[in-house]
Amino acid sequence: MSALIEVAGLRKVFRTHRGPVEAVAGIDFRVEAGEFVGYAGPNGAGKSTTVKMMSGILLPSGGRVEVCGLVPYRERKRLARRMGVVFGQRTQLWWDLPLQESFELVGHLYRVPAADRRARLRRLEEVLALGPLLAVPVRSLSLGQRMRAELAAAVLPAPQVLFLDEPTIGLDVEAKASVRDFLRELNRAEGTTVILTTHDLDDITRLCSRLIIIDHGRLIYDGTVERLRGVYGTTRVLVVDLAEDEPVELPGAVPVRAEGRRRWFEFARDEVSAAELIARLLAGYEVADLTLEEPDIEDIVRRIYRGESPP
Amino acid sequence: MAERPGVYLRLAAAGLRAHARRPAYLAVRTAAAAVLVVVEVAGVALLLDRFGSVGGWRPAEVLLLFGLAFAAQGLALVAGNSLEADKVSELVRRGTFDQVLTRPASPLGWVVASYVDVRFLGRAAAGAGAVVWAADRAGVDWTPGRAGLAALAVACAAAVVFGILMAAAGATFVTVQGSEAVNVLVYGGLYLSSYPMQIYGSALRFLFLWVVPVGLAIYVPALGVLGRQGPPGLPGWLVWLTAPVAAAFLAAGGLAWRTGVRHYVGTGS
Amino acid sequence: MRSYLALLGAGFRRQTTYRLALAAGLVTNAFFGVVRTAVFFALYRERDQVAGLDVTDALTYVWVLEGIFAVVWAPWVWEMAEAIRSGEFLVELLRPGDPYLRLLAFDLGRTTSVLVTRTLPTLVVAGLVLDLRLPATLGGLAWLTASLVLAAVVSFQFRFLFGSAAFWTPDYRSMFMLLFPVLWLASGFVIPVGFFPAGLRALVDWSPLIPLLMAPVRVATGGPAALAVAGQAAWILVLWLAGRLVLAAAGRRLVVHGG
Repeated sequence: MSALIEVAGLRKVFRTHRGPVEAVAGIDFRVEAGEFVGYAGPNGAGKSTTVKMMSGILLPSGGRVEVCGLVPYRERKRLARRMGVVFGQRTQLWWDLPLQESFELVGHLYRVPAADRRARLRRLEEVLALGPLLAVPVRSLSLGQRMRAELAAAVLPAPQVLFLDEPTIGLDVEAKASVRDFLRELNRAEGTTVILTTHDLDDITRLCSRLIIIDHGRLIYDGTVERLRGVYGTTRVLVVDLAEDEPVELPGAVPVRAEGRRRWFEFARDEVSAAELIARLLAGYEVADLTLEEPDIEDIVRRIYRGESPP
Repeated sequence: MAERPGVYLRLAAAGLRAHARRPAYLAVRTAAAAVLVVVEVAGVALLLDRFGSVGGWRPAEVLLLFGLAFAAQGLALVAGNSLEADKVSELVRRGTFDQVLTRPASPLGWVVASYVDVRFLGRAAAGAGAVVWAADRAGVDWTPGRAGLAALAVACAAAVVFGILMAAAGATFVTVQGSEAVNVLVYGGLYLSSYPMQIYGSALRFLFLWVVPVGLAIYVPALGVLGRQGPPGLPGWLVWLTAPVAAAFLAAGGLAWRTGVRHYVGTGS
Repeated sequence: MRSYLALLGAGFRRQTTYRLALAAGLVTNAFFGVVRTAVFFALYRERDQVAGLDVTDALTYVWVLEGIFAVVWAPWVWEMAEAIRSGEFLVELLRPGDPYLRLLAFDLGRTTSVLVTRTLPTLVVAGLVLDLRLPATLGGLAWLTASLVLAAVVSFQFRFLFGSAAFWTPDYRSMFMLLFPVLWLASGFVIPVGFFPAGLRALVDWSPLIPLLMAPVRVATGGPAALAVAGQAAWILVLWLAGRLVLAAAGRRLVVHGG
């Protein structure tokens, strides 16, 4: 059974006036149908270049890429029918027209039979709360409203794969939550494969079962979010609220921060267990409260970007 | 490439609906396009009346050529304005063309249909009006044959102009800057074709009769409308070549566009 | 004073970076000039003089027109209007000094660059290839240069007035588009004003559009240079006053509406 997306030895060399630049230097991965993949990397890492090659709008310099069983750059239009694309900053909708008309145009463009279109649209309207917005011209929508509309338009033709580029950027907390809920449900209920390019690590932790990190055109991580924590996030932090403001020494842990009576201690989980550390602490000091913090995914990813190899 | 034309018509209709939401704006632009034609024709009429004739042609006969050229320009630009150098260059720079490519549609069809601009019909209508007025002054007896020739001239010249715009847009994908020198071929070519071709030197004549055949498209059918004999080297039967030559040029323009898009996809923006 | 000169230099340098546009522009000028030349040759084949103008006058008109085209119809015509709509222009109005003079200085820098890189080569090449009626004396050339520079100033003043419509309406182009055909014709860019019927010509001769093209043409072809240049200077004064009125009104509006 071949995967929905197969990328092997994918390369792209750009010819600039400064000479040839290798934006993508040999990437391999497979995405099965129904996966929700986060695609992260610093700016200029080659993320958008790979997505362009996967969607057929850029010709690879080498290697192989197949999406939905099609070679993207050779069968661009056929692939376009099976995929949805949402760019965070730019719109795929018709700016001056009421939202309803954008949906109708999308329906005709992707040859969605009218009855199906109406039914799907009704469901999407409900889920994304678009009802009152249908008569509003797209240019008058707020960013959050517009993003919900973009998603509806992108999934209206029931694509097999959905490419999202920073869909939650600039949204407020509530809007981000509703977008994430929608995507999660879409992936779960309809089995739509989602490739989410994002800098927002909350997006990744809350939505993605798998994370691919790319830097300087190379794959530097491909696996689950959990494993990322496990591989790179080997430290945890013990946060202690002392009863009295006194200096504390805790063998096995490194003090990393102190604010009044609150202390942060970092320790390596494979060197000493949290239970042991807490026991040591309680034996020597009076503690009002304490919590354990898991490694911040942001720190982990930052460390990977900086090129720190896994411990 | 077997897209239903209905999709592009819907796109164009959507664009027109968007324009129609600002009717005053649209009316002003359309009127301005028409008035400019009227002013140019009036100016040339003033000039020619002072001199009496040019290249052996009476003023009214020359004004007929002007009318045909403006009508062709207006018609071509209704669809072709989206392909002008600065617009294509902007599509590339803003990344909008990438979005166009993610659609299940021909990029040319999409771009053209999205930017259909009705205001150029004002120019086309004014040009047609100038044709009627000039023909009246020249004493042309409108038979169906002559009307057909006038329509042929406008259609073929519009096709050539559209072909130039397609080729220029294709070139813009390669250079990104946008070659404004191409405007010379469109507007310069039409201006040149508004005067009878025999007044030009052989190089210009050859260029605009056979290489960028906007002159052929306008001049030869006009000879038929005016009941004139062409100069030696331009026999009357050439009128049968007008449509094939224009069609060949249009096809060449389409090829240039496709080559440009292939280059864009190959190298990215 | 030094800051105005600095702006002049900055404008000049800015415009000379547009090399590709310059090449395209020169090609356009050359092409239209060649076509118009052919037309006038054909027109004058059987007549020596019409309305007091002979073929040399006509050809000189053609090539001065092509040379000065990019100065009068400057491609950056809407930059000020866009800056007004975006709010950036407010900065310009709040700076110390005279905003009008500052804008003029920068603009003149750019149009001077165009004069040097487009007008001059066009006239020189055309003058060498064809028989034109261009001044042969140093004095005559000085008058022509002065006339061309004054035409550039008037061009700025018109663009300022049209652009300042942006203070009052977002659709600043529409009014211009409606007026444009009249401007185009009355300034002599369709046909030389000399060929207008007598009544129309008398009317048009007194318009502020004459300084844009016909004045330099008349200076070039040996008309009364001092008179033509004086006419340009007079209109510069009038347009400057109009500009001041507009700026004052715009300033009041900004204070009331906040930009």
